Amino acid sequence: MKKQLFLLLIILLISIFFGSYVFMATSIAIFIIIYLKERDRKYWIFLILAFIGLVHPLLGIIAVIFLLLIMEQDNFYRLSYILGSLFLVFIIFPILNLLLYFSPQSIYDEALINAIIVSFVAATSSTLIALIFALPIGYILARKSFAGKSIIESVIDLPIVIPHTVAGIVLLLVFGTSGIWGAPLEEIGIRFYYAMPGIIVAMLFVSAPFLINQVKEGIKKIDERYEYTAMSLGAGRFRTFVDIILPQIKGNILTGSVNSWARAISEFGAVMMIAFYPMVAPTYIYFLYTNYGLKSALPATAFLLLITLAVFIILKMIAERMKNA
Amino acid sequence: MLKIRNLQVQLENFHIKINELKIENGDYLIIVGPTGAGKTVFLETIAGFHIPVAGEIILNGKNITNLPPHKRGVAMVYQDYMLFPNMSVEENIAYPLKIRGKEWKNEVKELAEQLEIKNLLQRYPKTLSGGEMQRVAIARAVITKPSLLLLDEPFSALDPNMRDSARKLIGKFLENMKIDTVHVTHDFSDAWILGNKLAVMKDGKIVRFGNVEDVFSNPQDDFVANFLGATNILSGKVKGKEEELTVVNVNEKNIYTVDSAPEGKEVLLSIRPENIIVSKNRIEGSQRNSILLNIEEIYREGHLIWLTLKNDKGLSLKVMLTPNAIEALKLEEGDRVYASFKASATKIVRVI
Repeated sequence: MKKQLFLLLIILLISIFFGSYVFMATSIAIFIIIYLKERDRKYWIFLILAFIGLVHPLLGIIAVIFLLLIMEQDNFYRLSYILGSLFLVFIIFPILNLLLYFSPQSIYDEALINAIIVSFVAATSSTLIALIFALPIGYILARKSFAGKSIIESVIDLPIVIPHTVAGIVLLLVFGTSGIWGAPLEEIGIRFYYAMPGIIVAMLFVSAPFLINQVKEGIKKIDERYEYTAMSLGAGRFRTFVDIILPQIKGNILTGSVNSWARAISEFGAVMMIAFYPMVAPTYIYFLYTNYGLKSALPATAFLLLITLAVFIILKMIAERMKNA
Repeated sequence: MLKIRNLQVQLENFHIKINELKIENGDYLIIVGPTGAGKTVFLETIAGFHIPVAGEIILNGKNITNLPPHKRGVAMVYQDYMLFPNMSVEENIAYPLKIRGKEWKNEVKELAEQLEIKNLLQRYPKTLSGGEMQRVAIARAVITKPSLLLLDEPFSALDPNMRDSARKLIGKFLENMKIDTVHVTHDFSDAWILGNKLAVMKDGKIVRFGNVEDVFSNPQDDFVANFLGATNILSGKVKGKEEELTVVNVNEKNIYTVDSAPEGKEVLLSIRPENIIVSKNRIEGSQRNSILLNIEEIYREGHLIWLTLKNDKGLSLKVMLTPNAIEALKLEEGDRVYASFKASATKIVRVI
């Protein structure tokens, strides 16, 4: 019950800012669900708490904190529950607050929809490209030990550390129209500057480490003797990888892909440096904000937030399910 | 047939050097040795997982030293079986045939029947018991009839009372399959029940190799003797039963044992040297066996004294005594003494 109290505390803390009945209603709903699931009378107490909160949210919060303090004997857990709820509110409240500006009208904003499509296409392409490289790199890093391996591992993590605008300029120098790689590639018709490939390259640069590290960790956990056994049974290296390794790391691949995709979708700095157009969603929001002010940017921002959250949560759920399967 | 010559494997702080090893068709080689002797690495080298720095491995006349593992026809079964968790039992067993694009339905069914795992085919490895996993692993390894089967402590993960029945089932099964086998173990019973050849490894080398009986009865090397715990091996013929005990005729002497074997069968008996009592006069006691023998040799090794006893019919026993006992008995070379031992200390280690 302490954990549910913890949850209620978060909800109450959030509702205090809104001063609305909406979250009180959700809190009641949540605990009706818990009661129906666990069929334990003691959960009625949550309904009472919810109504106390309804009188005034502060009253509800005090009641919940009081209950937590008397139910939890351990000071360490008391502190953890209360600090934990404060931090979660710090994350959840701003997000919910923004969602209040959501308007279905945004769907008629063509520029926004286009930007979202560009974002999704670019992030998905970047994730697929990252996967092609992550599998072999992850394998080598998981299985082989060699001099300089830790250096290579640090190099792979570098894009996480580099400020994203710096990453953008780093890429622009090489992939730009007169860049060392950009110039010859432009000759054969692949343009990066202000073009889709540029967006993908920027996203790949900042997001691939998440996938590589996931694949590496996944392969590390598989006993190498599975591979030996498969080979002794007649499977070549490629076959062993496909039949034995891949099925066992599919959860890691999915989690890594989701993380990497999410990272790519959220990238702004590096992408903007190399390709302001075609606009990705974050660039479009930035464009609205700087040209028309905060108020005009809000509906589009809320729309983007909702879509990203929805996709992220769905993918995460699929990944978890595959991991447990 | 497997021939190994001047094989050298160099792993990180680990070295294997095998000058010569040869097993014939139909052989079942048992490898024993202390932990860290390199037994598993040796198997993995034969399977092709480690590339030797020198030497050659020849399997059925073909040099496989530089072949990749999947082209060798050498199947490996690890101690913890390594069943692929993403495949059902049936898919696991069929896997080697599927790789080769061959028909597998009937083969899987047949093996599953022989190994008594037919009812497990649709299950997944994590739901199986140790013994079941082991049989699945063996079925998977032999389904393509490999030229050589490598077993790395296949019974050590089973609990002791299951080990005997598993050993019998697998032993009979492999004998029918007629696949040359190399089997690494810590358990000497594996050597007696399954093997016909025995190799003792130490520090990456084979220190003794030969027929199981020869190695046990004549270790030729202090380390091997200590490691195997030198024992007396006598061969004889079962004469019949007498008061619950089995009578075995060894060099025209009757020896009684609590173990049983069918009448008329040739058997090997093992009597540990420390279980034999030596006396100048026949002793009255629970020792069912008492044989008059000559002391051929007395020699000291560390804190113990060893006696070699023989009679003119060729019966020979080694006995271990403390220096005090020798003095108290006033034993000298050439004396005639009684060697007495219990029927329960006399084991039938193999029925031929």
